[in-house]
Amino acid sequence: MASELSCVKCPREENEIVHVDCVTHKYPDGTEGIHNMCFRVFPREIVALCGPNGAGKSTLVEHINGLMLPDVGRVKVFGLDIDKRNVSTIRKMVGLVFQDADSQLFSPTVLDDVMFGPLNLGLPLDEARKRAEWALNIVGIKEVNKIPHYLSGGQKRLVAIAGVLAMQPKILVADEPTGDLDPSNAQMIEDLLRSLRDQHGMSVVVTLHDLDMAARLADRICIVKDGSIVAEGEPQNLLYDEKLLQSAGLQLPTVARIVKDLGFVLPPEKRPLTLDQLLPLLTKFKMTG
Amino acid sequence: MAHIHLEDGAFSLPWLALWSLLAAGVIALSLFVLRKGGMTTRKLAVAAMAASVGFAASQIDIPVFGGLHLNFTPLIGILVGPALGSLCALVINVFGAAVGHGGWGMIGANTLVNALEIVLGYYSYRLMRGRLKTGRFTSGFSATAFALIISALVVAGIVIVSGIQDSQQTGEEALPSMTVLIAANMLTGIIEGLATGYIVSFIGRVRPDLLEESEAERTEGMAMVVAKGRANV
Amino acid sequence: MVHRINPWTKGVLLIFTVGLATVLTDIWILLFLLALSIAFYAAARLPLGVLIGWWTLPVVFVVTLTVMFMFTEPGEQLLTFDVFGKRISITDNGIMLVVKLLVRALAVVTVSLTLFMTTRYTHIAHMAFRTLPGTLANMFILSYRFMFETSDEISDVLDAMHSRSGSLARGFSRQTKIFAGIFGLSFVHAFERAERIAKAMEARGFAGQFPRTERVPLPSYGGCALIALAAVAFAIATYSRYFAGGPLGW
Repeated sequence: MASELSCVKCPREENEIVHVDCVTHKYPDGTEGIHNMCFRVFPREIVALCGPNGAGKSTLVEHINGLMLPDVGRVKVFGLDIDKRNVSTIRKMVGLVFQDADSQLFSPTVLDDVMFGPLNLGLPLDEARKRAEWALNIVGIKEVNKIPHYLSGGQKRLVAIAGVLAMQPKILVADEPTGDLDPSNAQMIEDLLRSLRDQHGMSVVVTLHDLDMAARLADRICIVKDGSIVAEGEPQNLLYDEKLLQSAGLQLPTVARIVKDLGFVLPPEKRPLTLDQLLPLLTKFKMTG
Repeated sequence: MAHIHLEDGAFSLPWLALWSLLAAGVIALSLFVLRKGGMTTRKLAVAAMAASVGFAASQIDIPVFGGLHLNFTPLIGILVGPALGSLCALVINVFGAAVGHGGWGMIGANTLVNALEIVLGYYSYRLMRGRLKTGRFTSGFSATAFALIISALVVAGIVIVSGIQDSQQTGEEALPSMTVLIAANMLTGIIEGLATGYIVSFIGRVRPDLLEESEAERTEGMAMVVAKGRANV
Repeated sequence: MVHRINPWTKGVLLIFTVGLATVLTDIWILLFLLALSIAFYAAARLPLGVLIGWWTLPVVFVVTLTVMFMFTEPGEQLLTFDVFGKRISITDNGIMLVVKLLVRALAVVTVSLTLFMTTRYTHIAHMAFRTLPGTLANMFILSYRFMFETSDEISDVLDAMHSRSGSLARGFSRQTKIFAGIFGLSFVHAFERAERIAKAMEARGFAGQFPRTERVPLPSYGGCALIALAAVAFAIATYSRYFAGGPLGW
């Protein structure tokens, strides 16, 4: 059972909806997946967890959904302390999309798979079907009677997201949502995640290696290293801190690298994060020589 | 694995009913044991995957001695245990029947034979690793070969006892045919034993925790490999 | 038309087909049963070429396992020849035995294929949940779903092996090691997939029973009539075989 350790470095903040409060999780063989982890999620934001393999990102996100329970510390979701008795309530509020889409599509057809979650929530068949169709509409999948195995990689990812959306969670957690996708499918996922925040009022937590995507997508970035969050802040600050990123086994995103290589020194609020934001700067640079 | 590659109509109704009832009893016992021990989502998923691999593997033609088909039932027993393994045997046989690989009416007899292979494979492997402390290859090979040799005799026994419908041969007259069947199944059993020995060694190097079910104690090496796998999250 | 028949009706018809194939002994009645099963298949407008393809497996099984009976079954000798100085004969009863076994097998396989090719998977899943214990039904659903992945993975690994001339590897030991590695990898991947699936299921609220996404109504009056007809045929066949006289077993 997790101890009620009071954590000074991780005070409660107003309007937070998820609070991972100094959580440590040890695996059965003794290795620590996360150590003294302090993490928050706020309403209507996209927060990116960035870090190398083995940093503890996936372990952290599995705590938010209640798949793992902490050995030390606690996790609160909408004020509820996660424990064995209330995981089913937590999973209604926090949806988790895993990295491997194939292993999440375990029903014979796309529609069946997306209905899985709502039916487990106890919804009647008709209501579950409506929810599934709604979710599939949001992600833009029309092949509802197809066997999931025969979908493309991007489609599988979208169906996996739909399967979670159909449960109408307030928070969507996506573990490497664009990991092995081609650029066009990755863009589709990125646009979808943005629309979930903007049009559906959800909070989204994504784990990413791709800092370019983090730069485009995230409102807030957390750098994860060796089981803890070593830095947290706005993308304009963190994604331009080369030393910090390198210490966490990451590299500057493309836009930041171009800005650095061109020798620009910019205050945080003027630092471009996307190519669209960089273009005016380059144009100005070209004009002024 | 031994498999009575007979289609529907080979056995008469009373024998079909008898083997089916016995198989139903074995399945019921397996379900009871699982319920008592607690059926988790992980166990369900593991059993389902083992069954799907077992079935898929049985469709592969291995180019040894003109072509062999292996089902790895003793291996399934080693990996998932006798209770879950028996359920896997039923699933594999039902899928097989659906594609004409054995009759629907033969599911009972085939499940009995495969469940026997699973149980013998599991307990022999456990004995060899736990008490006799033999290596994984030797234990896997010996347990599988033993299980399949016994099951080859059982298959022949089932066929002799049940008789083939419309055959006018007595049991003694059918013995030469059964001898060929026994010999073929035993030879396949030896080959499958070798394959299982290699597979168990492979699994033991890559994911020794998957052999927890049948190995008496976890070794330090096993814990370290698990740790390495867990660290990559 | 067959696609619209209630899945329960088709399932029960399959059971009675197995029963009739088991109980009937007269070759002409068995041939009639086979003809009926082919007609059932054809009524579903399913391709005959596919049926012939599926028939290969049961034919191979029956022939390879009962071929010896053609020579050892007592009866009138039709063909005799010498093999290594020994005289062996093919008898009429031996051939009839093999033919009857073939006809029985093909009748059942035909009806079985018709059932699975004309029934939606969700209906089969519903029937599984209604007739089997929950654990077993769950296992069937999951195993079926991931059979595609497993088969593809094994195919991919075999292709990779062939692309590196693995099939040219000579020797029993080497071939066995290669295939053992392939199957070992498949088992390891299957277990790892199982762990991920279990997590994904729990994350979406799985509580031990796969929810059913479709309901299958009970058979209509027409379906019940078909079932009743099959039941009567089976009852008559069984009675005439076992109660009006006839051997059991050998």
